[in-house]
Amino acid sequence: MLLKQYHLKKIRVIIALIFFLFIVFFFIDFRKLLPDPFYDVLLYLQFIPSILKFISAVSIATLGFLVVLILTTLFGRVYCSAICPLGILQDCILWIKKKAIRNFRFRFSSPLDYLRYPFLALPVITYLAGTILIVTLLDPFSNFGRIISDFVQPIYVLLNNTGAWLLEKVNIYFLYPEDISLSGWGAYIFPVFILGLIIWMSLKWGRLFCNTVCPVGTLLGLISRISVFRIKMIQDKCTQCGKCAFDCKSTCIHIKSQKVDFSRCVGCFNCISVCPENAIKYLGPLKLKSQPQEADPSRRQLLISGGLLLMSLFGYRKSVFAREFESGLRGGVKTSYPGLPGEMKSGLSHEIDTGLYQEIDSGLSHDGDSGLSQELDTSLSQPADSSFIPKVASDLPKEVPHNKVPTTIEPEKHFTVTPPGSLGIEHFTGTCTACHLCVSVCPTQVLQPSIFQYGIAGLMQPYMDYVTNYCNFDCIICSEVCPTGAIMSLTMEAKKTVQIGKVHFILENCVVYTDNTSCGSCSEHCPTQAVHMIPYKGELTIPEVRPEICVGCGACEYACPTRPFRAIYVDGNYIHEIALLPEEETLEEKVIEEEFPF
Amino acid sequence: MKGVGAGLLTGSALTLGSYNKVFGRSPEQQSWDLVAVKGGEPGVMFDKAIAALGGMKQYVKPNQTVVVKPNIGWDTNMERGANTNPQLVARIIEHCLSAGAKTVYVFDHTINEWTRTYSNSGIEKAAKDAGAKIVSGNSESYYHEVVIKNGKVLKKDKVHELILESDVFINVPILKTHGGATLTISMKNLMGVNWDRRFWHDNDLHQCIADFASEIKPTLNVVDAYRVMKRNGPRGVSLSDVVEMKSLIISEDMVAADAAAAKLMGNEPAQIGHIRIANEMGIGTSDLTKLAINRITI
Repeated sequence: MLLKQYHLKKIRVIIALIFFLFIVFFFIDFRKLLPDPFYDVLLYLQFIPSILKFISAVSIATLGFLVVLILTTLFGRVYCSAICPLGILQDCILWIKKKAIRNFRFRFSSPLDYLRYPFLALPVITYLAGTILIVTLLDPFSNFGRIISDFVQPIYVLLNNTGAWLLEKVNIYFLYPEDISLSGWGAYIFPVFILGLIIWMSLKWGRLFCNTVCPVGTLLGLISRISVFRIKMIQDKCTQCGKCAFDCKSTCIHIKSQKVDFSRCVGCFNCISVCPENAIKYLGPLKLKSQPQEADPSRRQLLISGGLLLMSLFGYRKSVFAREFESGLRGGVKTSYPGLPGEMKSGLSHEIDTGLYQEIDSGLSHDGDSGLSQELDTSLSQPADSSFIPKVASDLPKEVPHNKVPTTIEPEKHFTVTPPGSLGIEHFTGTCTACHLCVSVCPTQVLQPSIFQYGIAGLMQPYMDYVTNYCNFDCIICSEVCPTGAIMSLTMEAKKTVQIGKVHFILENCVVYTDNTSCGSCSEHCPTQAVHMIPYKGELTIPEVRPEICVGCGACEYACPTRPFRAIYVDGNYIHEIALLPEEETLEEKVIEEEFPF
Repeated sequence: MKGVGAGLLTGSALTLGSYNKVFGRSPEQQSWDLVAVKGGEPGVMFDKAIAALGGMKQYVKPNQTVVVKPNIGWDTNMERGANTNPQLVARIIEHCLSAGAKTVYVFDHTINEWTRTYSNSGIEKAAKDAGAKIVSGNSESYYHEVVIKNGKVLKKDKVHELILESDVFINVPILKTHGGATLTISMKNLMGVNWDRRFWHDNDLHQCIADFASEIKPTLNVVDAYRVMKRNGPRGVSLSDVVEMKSLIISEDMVAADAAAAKLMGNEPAQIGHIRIANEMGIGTSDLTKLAINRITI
C-alpha cells in the first residue's frame, strides 16, 4: 500500500477541519462573504438535509445522501468523523479534554442497542406519519447549525462590533457594527439543552451521542456492517497492550477478543496511529479474507431493511408531491412559482383566489394524519399539529407607545408568514429541520427562530418576524442557502411576484386618522405600492391597500409607527400565491413652458 | 460644522446674501442665493453651479473634514431615481478633496438594508473611487443626542456623529414625490442623519421635519433633479415612475432649495407642509422672488 496507514488520521483531520471551519463560518457570517458554490459544495453531503432536499426536488444536486451511503458502504462511517460538523465538534471537545487530562483513557463499552435503534426508528416513523419534529430535534447538522447560529454568531457579531467601535474611535469605518436581534428566548432552550448534552456526553463517554442518540450515526452504523474497508486487529501481531482501545472515542475496540465493533467505529483512525505494533489496520476485502472471518448473519437482513427504508421514503415523497400538486391546483396557483422546476407560467397563476383563503381560514379542523394513508383530499386541511397560533406572541406590546393615544384594534393574523420560496406553510413546516442557516445569513434578520408560531411541531423553524424587520425586495439569499429544500431556490424575478402574505389596513389605528397628521411610512417602504397614499383631508394623504399586488414583505408593518397595535400588517398565506404586477401607466408629462418655473 | 460656510449659515438666512457680499467673495463676482442648472450631465451641472457660487473653496477649507449625505435609502439601481445620482456624489467629493479637505465621509441612515443600498445605488463604488470614506448610518451607536432648541414637537433627537463632528456638511438629496410628505428634498433628506424616524412619522411628520431643520443645517444643499421620480415615491415601483429632468439646484438655504425644487415638480412651495412651516419658523425663505437666483442652461 502506497499510503502509510498512520497518515489516515492526518488526512481525516484535514478534511474534517475544512468541513468544520467552513460550516462554522456559514453559520456566523452575517455578511455572507462566501458565494453560493461554497454552500452548495460543502453542504451537499449533509445527510438528512440532502434526503429532505431530494424529497422536495429530485436532481443530481440533491443526491448527496446517496454519496454518503456509498462512501459508508466502502469505507465505514468516515462521514461521522470527517463530514458531520456535530461529530467534529465532539472531537474538538475531546481534543481539549486530552490536552487538559493527559492520561485520560476510554474503555470498551457495549452498544446500547435498546436506545440507538429506537432513536433511528422514531424520526423515520414520525416523519412518515407527517411530522418533522423528531427529525428536527435529532438531525446532527441542524443541531450543530442551531448551536452555532444561536450562540456563536452573537459572540462573533459582538467581537465584530467591539472591533468596529475601537476603529471608530480613530475614525476608521472599515468594520461596521451589526444589530443582534434575538427573538423570544424560548427558541433557545433546546439548542442549549443539546449543547449541554453534547459536551457532557462527549467528555464522559466520547462519541456515545453519535452511537446512541444520532439517527444518522445508527443508520450508517448498520450500513458499515457491510463496508468493504474496515478496521481489523491482526491477532498474531497484537500484544493486547490496549493503547488503541484507550484512544477509541467510540469505545468499540474489545481488546480481549481483539474485535472491533465496526458499526460504532466513526473512522477516526486514532487507533492506527497509536498502535506501537502496527497490529490494527484499515484493510480492504483481499486482506480481510486472509483473516479468519466470522459470518455476519445480520448483513443480508440489513441490506433488505435498508432498501425497504429508502423505498418507503420515496413512496412518501410521491404522496407529498401529489398533495402539493393538488393543493396548487386548488389554490388557482399553478404549481406555485415561475422559475422553479416544472413551472407553469400560465395566466391562471395570476389569479388571486380569495375563496381559497377563506376556505383555509374556516377549515381549521384537522384530521388525524397517518402517514402514507394520508389522502390527497386532505391537502388543504391542517396537519395534525395544527396549533397555528393566531397571534404572533412577540407582537404584544412591549414598548411604551410614542403616539399620544395608544391604538386599540388588534391585528387579526391567521397564519405565520414563511419565507419566499417555501411554497407555503405545509411544504415549509414539513421540510425544514430548523438548522437556522437562513436565520444566520438573512441580511435584514427578518427570519427568526419560531417558538410556537407554527405550533409545537414547527418548533424552532424560522418565520418572518415583521417586528424585527422586513424582507428585502431584491434578495433571495435564504433560498440560495437552504440545505433541505424547505426554501426552494428562486430567481430574483420570480421572488418579486411570490406573495407570502397579504396586507391588511386598520384605518382606526392609523396616525393620519387619529391625529390628522401626515405619515406615509408604510407606503414609503412598500416596494410594489400595494400600499399607496390617496388624498384625505386637506393636504393629508392616507393609505389605501391593494392586496392583489402585495408580496407580503412586511415592510409596511415594520415601518408603521403606531403602538401597541400597528395600523397595517401582513397576514400569511397558507399556500403562497402569485402577486399581480403593479400596473405601469406612462406618466402624463406636464409640460412646463419656461425653462425654470421660478 | 465650524467652517466658514456654517458660520455664515448661523446668521439669519434672509440676510445671507448681504453676508456673502461682505465676506469671502471677490467684489466683482455676483453672489447668488440659489443656482439652478439645466440640461447637462450631473457632474457637469455641479461644476457650473459650484463655480457660480465661487467654487468649493468657499465652503471647504484645507484640512477640514467633510460629510456628504446623499439619499442612499433604497435597494434600487441608479436608473430608478430613488437614490441620489452617484456621478453627482462623486463630483462633489472630488471638488471637496481638491479644495483641500482632509477626509470626505459619505453615509446615509438607509431604509432598506444598508450594505445592499450602498452597492446597488452605485454610490459606494463612485464615492470610494472619488476618494471618500463610506460609513454605515444604520447603527444606533453612531448617533448622539442633540437638543433642538426651537423645536415645537421634536425637542431632542439622536444625530449621526459625522454630522456633529465634521467641519462641513453637504446635503445631497434627490428630488422625489413622497406619499406622506408630498415631496422629499433637502429638509426631508435630513431624516437620514437622525436615528428614530418612527417618532417623526407618529408626531406630525411635517412639523418634525421643520423642527429638525431648525437645528441641523447643512453647509450646502445640492438637489439632484437629474432623474426625477414623479409618482410612487420615495421608493418607486418601476422605471415608468421616473422622468429625466436633467436639472440641479444648489443653495445654502434648505428652504429656498426645496421651494425651487418643488416648483420644478409643479408644486407651490406653500402647499408642502414642511416647506411652509420652515418658512414660517424663519429657517429659510421659500419666497423665491426675494432671492438672487442664477439660472444656467447648458
